[in-house]
Amino acid sequence: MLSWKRSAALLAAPAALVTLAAPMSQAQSGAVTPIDAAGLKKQVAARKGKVVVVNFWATWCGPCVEEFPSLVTLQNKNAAKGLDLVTVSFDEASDKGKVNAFLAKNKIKKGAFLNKSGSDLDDAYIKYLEPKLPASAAVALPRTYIFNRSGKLVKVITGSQTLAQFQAAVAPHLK
Amino acid sequence: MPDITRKSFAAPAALAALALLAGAVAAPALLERGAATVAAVIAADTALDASNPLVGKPAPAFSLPDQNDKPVTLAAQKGKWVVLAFYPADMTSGCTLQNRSYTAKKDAFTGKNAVVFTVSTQGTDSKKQFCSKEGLTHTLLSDVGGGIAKAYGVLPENGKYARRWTFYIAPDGRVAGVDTKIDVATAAEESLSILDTLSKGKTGGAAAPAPAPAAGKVEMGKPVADFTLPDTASGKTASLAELSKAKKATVVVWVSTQCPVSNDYNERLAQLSEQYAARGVQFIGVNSNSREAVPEIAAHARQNDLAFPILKDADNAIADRFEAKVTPEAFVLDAKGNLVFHGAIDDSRDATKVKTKYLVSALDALVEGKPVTVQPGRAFGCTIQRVARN
Repeated sequence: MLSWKRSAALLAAPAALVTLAAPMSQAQSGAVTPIDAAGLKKQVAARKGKVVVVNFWATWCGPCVEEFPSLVTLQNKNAAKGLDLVTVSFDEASDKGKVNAFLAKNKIKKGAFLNKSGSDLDDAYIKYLEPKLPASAAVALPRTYIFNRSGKLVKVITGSQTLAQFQAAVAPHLK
Repeated sequence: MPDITRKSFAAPAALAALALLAGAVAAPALLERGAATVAAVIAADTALDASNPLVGKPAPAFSLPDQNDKPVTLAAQKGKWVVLAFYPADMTSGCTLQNRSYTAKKDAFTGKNAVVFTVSTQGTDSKKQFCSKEGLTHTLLSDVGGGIAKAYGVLPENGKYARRWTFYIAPDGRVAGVDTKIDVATAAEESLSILDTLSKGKTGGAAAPAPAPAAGKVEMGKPVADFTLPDTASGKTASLAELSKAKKATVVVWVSTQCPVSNDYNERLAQLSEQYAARGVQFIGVNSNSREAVPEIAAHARQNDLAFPILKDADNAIADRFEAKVTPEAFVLDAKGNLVFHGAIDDSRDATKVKTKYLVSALDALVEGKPVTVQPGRAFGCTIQRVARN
């Protein structure tokens, strides 16, 4: 696992350089679009018929940055079977460049969103995705939600995962 | 019963927590005072863990092979006291001392209508070797796979070594007491005096003079059991009870040196702790991140003017008790030590966007002697990096 320090160093210092070095189309067009809980619900609904993997992450979250490449591989390996990855970054709007650079580096070209309330958690997400979570329970990133082909939420995964763990989680729904 | 495996801080009082840190020092001192005093002192210090959920319940049954591959069952011991001492591993220094101690005092237990079994998760071959090497003649049981250790709540999650806890099972088959603080060198002597106390009808729970809250998970509205942790600035131990003494409110907040979210709250925490200190509020920072060492935490606090004590929860036992998951995450205790607030400090990581100050609302109410009515938002931040439990 990357430590906070390492991931911060990876992200913070080289981020400016990465932003400059990233392909113009990605970094400047702004690959991420703002989203909130209602918007996410629509995005999931629009993908009915597919297995949708929604990942909550942030550039400031070490374990998120660590697991992200596994999600990209998961998407590439299973796209033909009907898997669609949707990522929501919980970064400040002012860090949009950093987010886009990171996405470009990981070759994510679609389904990438930026939380409208930045790195604050709008509880509407939790009401939508984890209604049974106690009101006082803290929420940490990363979090991954799996929806089956009929649009039903079938799995909530908290904490960093490996590719094998992700693959095992989606496999039964891709059949 | 998954929570009992987490109760590494078993005894409630500050004294007991100190004894835990002081480790082996406490028990030999007790021994010099003679058996009768020892029993009294043990009862007063609540050396027995009254909060263990097995106390008063029928002891989980077992049938385990001894060092000669002969099965031993709990059922066959009915009518006798059973001292069931779990230990981590054969052939290791602490376990050797503990087992030697029981062999040396074997006859004294017979005289008290008691039988001693020491149990670990290694096989009977290992036991046989251990016995012949160390000349052990009391009964050692082999709990391969840890099924029985698990039933008694002494096997850490995903762990293979039992905790060093000793169970006292009464002649009726019920658990009369659980000792979680074992001095290996004098284990048998302690067991004998605990048996004296217990056989006089005192159980671990009843013997405690003023039962302090059990050190289980904290609950909203309930008293929070004391804890003792090293202060990262001074290196001295600090206890919740001492720090919160005579305070109108105590804030316990999980912080990090490296988490950007927690760091965005440094300034707010520095200001709040200073403002509210004058109004009788104590701030306590806790750092449970396994990758953040004491010198780093102390330096970070100096650089960021965090003038309140920041304690190091090295094995995240306190984070587990509070079920703290992220940094920053705040808890508030009222003047009586009851937990009255758990959640986010305010509603935005960006100080300029804050609309609702949850923590401030709670503290304002408490310093005026009013109940806390604010509904805090849930804490959102960086995952607390816990240690791997083995």
